[in-house]
Amino acid sequence: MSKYLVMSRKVDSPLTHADGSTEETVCEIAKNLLHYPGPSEYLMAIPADTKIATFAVLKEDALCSIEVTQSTLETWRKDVTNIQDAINSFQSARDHAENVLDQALGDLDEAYENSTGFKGYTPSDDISVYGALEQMGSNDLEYTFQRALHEMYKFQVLRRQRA
Amino acid sequence: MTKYLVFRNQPDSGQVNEPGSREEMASEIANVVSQDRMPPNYYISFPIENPKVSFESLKELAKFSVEITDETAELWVNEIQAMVQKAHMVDDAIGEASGGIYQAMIAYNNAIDASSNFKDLTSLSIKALDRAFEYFEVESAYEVSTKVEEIYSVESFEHHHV
Repeated sequence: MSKYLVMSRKVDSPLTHADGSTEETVCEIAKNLLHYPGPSEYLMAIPADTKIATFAVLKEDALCSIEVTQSTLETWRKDVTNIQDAINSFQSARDHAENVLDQALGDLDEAYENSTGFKGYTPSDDISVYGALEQMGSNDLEYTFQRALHEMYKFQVLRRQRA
Repeated sequence: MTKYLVFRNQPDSGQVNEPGSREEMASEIANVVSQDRMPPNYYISFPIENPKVSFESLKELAKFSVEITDETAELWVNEIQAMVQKAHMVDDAIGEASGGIYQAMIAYNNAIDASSNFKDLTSLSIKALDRAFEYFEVESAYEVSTKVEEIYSVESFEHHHV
């Protein structure tokens, strides 16, 4: 198990992590778990047992700590992206579903509202894609997955990012 | 008020409802009540006053009877046709929505199954999705069809064949 501290890279720093290196992957993990707005290249990972890491903690430069093994690094490279992509696709499908149903139901509600023979019933009161998906637990997918990742990488926030 | 008997039109009958006629309207009303969304002229209608029609004898073959007055005919043209169309659009939207979500659910479940460390994550229930959207379809079609059934005093005839 190797522990790393992750901090923001200085804008003018010439140091970059080698492609495929553990540090590069750690920065990708940190970007994901921190919801860091910039690219992972703007982050830098340092082994926690080095003097520079101790100095970063003292200066409160470190954003988070992450622990990795060969196995969890492989998991990140092979599985996490797939699952994250699937979650993103699911959210997109859900957003699309909500949009098309909202539109169609809005038109039907309006037709009921404007009619003389059908007034008094609002179809959208009985048809809610939000409620159905919530019941299936799909709203928690992202949260549950993030929790699993936090545990796997023993992720700890050391300093909140500035808004 | 005119009462119509509505029959299943045989594909090779060569008969169609006259466009814009009350017979066509009666057939469309039967189609809405059946909730099956069959193509135009799937049903064909005849007024009971038609000398060719003997109510008691043909009732055995008819699928529905429909009553139309001038007032309810006007309601059909001015309101209900558009409403039926919008209810169908909701059904189509439900189909599109459930199809997209269904595919995304399968992709997510597959991604979990194929992983080495995330098999414990709960997979999404396709059955629950089916149940939810099936309920929506029933709900969206039910209100319109029930009201149409009431306004046009639609009777459905069940035929039991030995």
